[in-house]
Amino acid sequence: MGSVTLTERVRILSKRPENRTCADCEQLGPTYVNCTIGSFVCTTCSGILRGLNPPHRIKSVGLSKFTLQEVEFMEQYGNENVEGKWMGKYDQRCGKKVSKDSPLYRTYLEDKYERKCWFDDAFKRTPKTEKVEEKQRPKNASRSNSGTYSTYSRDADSEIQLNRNDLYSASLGGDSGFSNDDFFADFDSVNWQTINDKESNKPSANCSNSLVEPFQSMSFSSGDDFRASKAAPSLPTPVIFSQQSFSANTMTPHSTQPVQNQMYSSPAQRNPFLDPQTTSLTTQNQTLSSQEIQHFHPQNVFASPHVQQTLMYHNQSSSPATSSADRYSALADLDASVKAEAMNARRAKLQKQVSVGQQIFGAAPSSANPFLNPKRQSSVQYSMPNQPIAPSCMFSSNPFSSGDPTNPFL
Amino acid sequence: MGLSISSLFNRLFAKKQMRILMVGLDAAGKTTILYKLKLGEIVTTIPTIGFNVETVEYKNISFTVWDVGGQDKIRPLWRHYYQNTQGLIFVVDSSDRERIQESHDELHKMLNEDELRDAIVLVFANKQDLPNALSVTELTEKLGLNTLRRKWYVQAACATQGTGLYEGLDWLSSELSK
Repeated sequence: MGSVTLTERVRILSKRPENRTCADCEQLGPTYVNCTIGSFVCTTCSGILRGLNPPHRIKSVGLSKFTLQEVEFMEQYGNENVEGKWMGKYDQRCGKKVSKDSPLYRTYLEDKYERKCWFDDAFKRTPKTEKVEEKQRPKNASRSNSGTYSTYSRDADSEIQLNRNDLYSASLGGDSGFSNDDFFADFDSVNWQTINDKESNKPSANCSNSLVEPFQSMSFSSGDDFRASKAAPSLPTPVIFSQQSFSANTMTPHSTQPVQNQMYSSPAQRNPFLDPQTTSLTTQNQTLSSQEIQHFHPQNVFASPHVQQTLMYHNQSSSPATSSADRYSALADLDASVKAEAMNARRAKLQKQVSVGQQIFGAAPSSANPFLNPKRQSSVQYSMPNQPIAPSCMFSSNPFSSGDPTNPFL
Repeated sequence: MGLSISSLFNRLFAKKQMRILMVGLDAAGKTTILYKLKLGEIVTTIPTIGFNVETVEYKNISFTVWDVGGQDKIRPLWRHYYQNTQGLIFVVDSSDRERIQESHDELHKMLNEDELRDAIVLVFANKQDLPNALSVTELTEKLGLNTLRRKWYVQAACATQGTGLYEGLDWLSSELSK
C-alpha cells in the first residue's frame, strides 16, 4: 500500500500549478523529481542535475519508488519554494535565464546549485496562498517573451499611466495611431519599480561571469540599435528627456532596463545587465555633461543621426537656462501647456516614490513643480511591449524624426 | 581447402565476441561508462528508460555492452537481458553510501538467477573522485562479494575521467581467453 500511495502523492504534487513546468528550464510537464532540493524537473535537466557535484538525487515520477520522507519533503518544497530559495538573489537585469539550448546551460545550473550564485539563505517557505502572489512578479518578468518588465506594475500605476498617456498624445498632436496605453504602462512600470530595486541591491554581485559573457557582445550599443528622441525639453519647466530605442531590423519591442549613471561614465566596463533582448531605460540622477554622454558606448550608438540629435538635446537641456529658441519651441509650448495639468496630477504620485524618484526629478517634494530644477533631468529610453507595429506609427508621427531622411521607418 | 583455410584464419585473427550486461542502481554511471568506452568522451546523459547497446572493440575482443536503465520500477526488466550473458558489469556509485545496501540486494537477487550462473562479475566502484567515496575494500565487504561462488572482480573507476574502465575490460578479456 505504502509505495503506491506515495507514488500517487508525488503524481498529485507534480500536477500542482507551480510544478507543471520544469524548475530549471520551464519546460512543460516535468517527469522527474529532484529529491535533493525538492523540485520537479524535465528529463534533460534531470540528466544535468545528477551530474553536478555533489550529484542531486533524481527520481522519475513514474518509474521510481519514494519514501515517506521524500514525499513529505516534496510536499514542503516544490518548484515555487525552490525558485525562491535557489534563485532568490537572481537579478532579472542579468538577462534572461540561460536557455536550455545554450551550451552554457550546464554552467548555469552549476552556478545555480554548485556555486550557489543566487542562493537566498534567508528564504523562508511561505504558505501557499501567499506564495502565489509573491512569486508572481519575478516569474512573469522572467517568462515574458520579450523579457519585458511591463508586468511589474501595470495595474498599480494605472493612474500615472493615464496621465502620461494624455501628456504623450498631446505632445504628438493627439493622434499617434497606436495604443498609448501599453506604451506608458511600460514606461511607468519600469521607471519606478526597477529603479527602486536598483537602489536596494547591488545586482553586480549577482551576475556570474558565465551569464555575463554571452550578452556582452550584444549589448545595446550594437549598430542596429535605433534611437530617436521623443519628448523635447520644453521651455523653462519640464526637463523630461526621453528616448525610444527600437531594434531596426526586427522592430520587435524590447523590454526596458535601468542603467545607472556610473555605467555611462566608464565605457570600458561591460554592462552585465544589458540583456540583448532588452533595450535600456536609463535614468540619470544628475545632469549629464556632454563628455559623459560621449563616453557612453562610443562605438556605434552615435552613428545613428537620431542619437546625435539626442545628444544635442542633452546638451541643450543640460545648460541651466534651457535654450528654447530652436525649432522645437513651438512644440514645447504646446507641450508645456498640456503637461502642466498632467504634471500636477503626477506630482502627487511621484512624491510617494522613495528617494530615487526625488533624485531624478531633483527638487524637494514640497516644491510646486518637481521638474522645475533645470540642473536635474532624467533621460529615459523605453520601448513598447507587444506592439510590433507601433514603432513605425510612432515614428511617422514623431515631429523630430520627420525631417530626417535617414529614418528607415519613414 | 578454402573452407579450412578460412576457419583457421578466423580462429587466429577473428575478433572474439563477448556479450556484456551492464546494470546497477539509477544514476550509478552506467550510460556514462558505456559512452566513455565507445566514444572516449563524456556525454551528458539522461536517465535511461529501456536500454542502450553499443559494441566496444578492445584487445581484439568485441564487447557488446547492454546498458539497462536502473530506476526502481524498471529493474525487473533486467532479467530479459540475462540470456547468453557472459559477463555482468555491476556499476555502483561509491559515494552513495545510503543505497549501498540496495545495491547489495539487487546484485544478489540477480546472481541467484539461473541464467546468470556462468556469468563472471565485474563491479565498477564508480565515482571514486567524489568526496566520501567508499574504497574498493569497503565496497567489497558491503556488497558481500566474498560470499559469491563465481569469478568476480572489483575495479575502482571514475567514468568522467575515464580511469579504471579499461582495467575492468582487461580483466574481462583475460577471463574470457582462459
